Amino acid sequence: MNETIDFTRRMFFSKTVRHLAIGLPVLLAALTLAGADRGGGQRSAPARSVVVDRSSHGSIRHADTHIVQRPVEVRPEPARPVEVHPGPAPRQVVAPRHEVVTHRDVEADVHRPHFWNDFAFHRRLGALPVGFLALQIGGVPYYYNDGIYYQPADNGYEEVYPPVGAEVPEPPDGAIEIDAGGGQVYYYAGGAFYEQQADGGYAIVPTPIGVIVPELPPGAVPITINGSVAYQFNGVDYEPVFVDGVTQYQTFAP
Amino acid sequence: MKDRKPLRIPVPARLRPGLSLAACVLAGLMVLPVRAADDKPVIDPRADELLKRMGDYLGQAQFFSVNAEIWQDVDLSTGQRVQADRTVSLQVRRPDRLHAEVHSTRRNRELLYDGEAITLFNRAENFYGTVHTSGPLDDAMDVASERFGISFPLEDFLRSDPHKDFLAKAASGTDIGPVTVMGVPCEHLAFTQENIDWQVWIEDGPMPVPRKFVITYKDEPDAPQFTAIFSNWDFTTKLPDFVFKFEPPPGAAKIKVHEIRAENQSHETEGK
Repeated sequence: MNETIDFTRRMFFSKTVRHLAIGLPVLLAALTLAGADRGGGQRSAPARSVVVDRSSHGSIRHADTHIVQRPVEVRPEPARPVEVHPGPAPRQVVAPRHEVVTHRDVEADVHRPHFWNDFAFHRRLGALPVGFLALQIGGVPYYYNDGIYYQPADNGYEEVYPPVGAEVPEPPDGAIEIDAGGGQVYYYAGGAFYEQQADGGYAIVPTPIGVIVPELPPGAVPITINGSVAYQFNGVDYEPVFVDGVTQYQTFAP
Repeated sequence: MKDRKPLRIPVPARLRPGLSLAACVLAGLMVLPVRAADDKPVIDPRADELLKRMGDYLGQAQFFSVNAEIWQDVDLSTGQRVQADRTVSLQVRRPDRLHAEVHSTRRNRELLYDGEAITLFNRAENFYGTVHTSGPLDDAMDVASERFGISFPLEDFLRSDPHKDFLAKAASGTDIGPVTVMGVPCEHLAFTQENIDWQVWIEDGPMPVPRKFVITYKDEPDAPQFTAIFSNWDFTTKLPDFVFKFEPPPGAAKIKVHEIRAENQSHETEGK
């Protein structure tokens, strides 16, 4: 009987100790790692704003902040009736890998010229630029080259506003990515807002109202509304507003 | 090749539980000091002393002016990295006055705080906007950043206690040694923290002001840098009220200052 008790005690004790011997260090190590994951290795510091564009201002105080797009209440412009037809096969297509600017630093002053910066409504051309793409939008012929759209005019072509419904293989070079919140992303170039389509292409959508863009469309015309300054482009108004301390432009319906 | 036999040390059965417990305690003790060490920043006392000296000098100055040339890495859409530059001119009068002018080739903007309002002025476009707030400069900077996403230029050096703010998140700090910046003898200090490394060059002698400041954003692709070179420190020229008061120039248009919405604050706890 005593032998049985002694054996049971020995078994219990040795198993417990064995479990402790393995389990305790593992537990302590896990706790340490978990603490590190939570930033346990960092000193506690006063919470700082999370909305200052960290690299623009060179501030240690804002070094841990995020580059945050302002959530805006985006309302689509009243849709214009658009009938999209696939265009004829392009005669000559040059499709370099175009880049989009995912974060445009509003403070750094770097001149970034792009083809579409040079847009001028109704500018006449004798011939289309090399590499143009032919499109049919609502049965109307358009030609496209890197952010600028053309239509036939007397003995040549003229530059026209970006037509809603136009779909191109990729956003124009240097298009600015605009995160409008709620997973809505636009690519903004030459006064047009492109949205990626299910087929992988990028189609011009009606200008979202309420969205903030870092620069005006090329050729936007200054206007005055109720004594306030604004700019107009293709039937949409752009109101200057200080965002992050620098001037940007918010779209609004006239 | 002969298989090696595991080394076995005979241990009396009655000692085994005690040895196992001892192993547990030892393992715990080995782990715990690592945590303690992680919690404490490793700041070279000399670096700390020099940084404090600079912080006290700036924080206790009743007024000062300084210029800075800023170079900032920018990636073009082609992938090429270039440097953008701008100049900053600062006038500070404690406790509640500031005038900053930021100038580059295509932009020219000002930021003024007169103790009652923060005014932003885009001189190139002739736009201005005003935010009403009051209190010492530290409070105005907090309102500007937390409500409007605005960071005052080089604001780390404008706080009332720069030393405290500089080291709030620092993990380590080192005194690299003496160097010259634009011909001025300085002490080069280097610090690390979670997402950035930063360096400051502090002038030797009776006026321990920063002469150069670099932040390396090591959590971003290819670790871009922000560099500021300071010049024309002036602690003697008095700064009257009009320096900080905004008078709209003829034709200036008042525009809105976009306020951060409450929901953005939810990003506060998200880690980067």
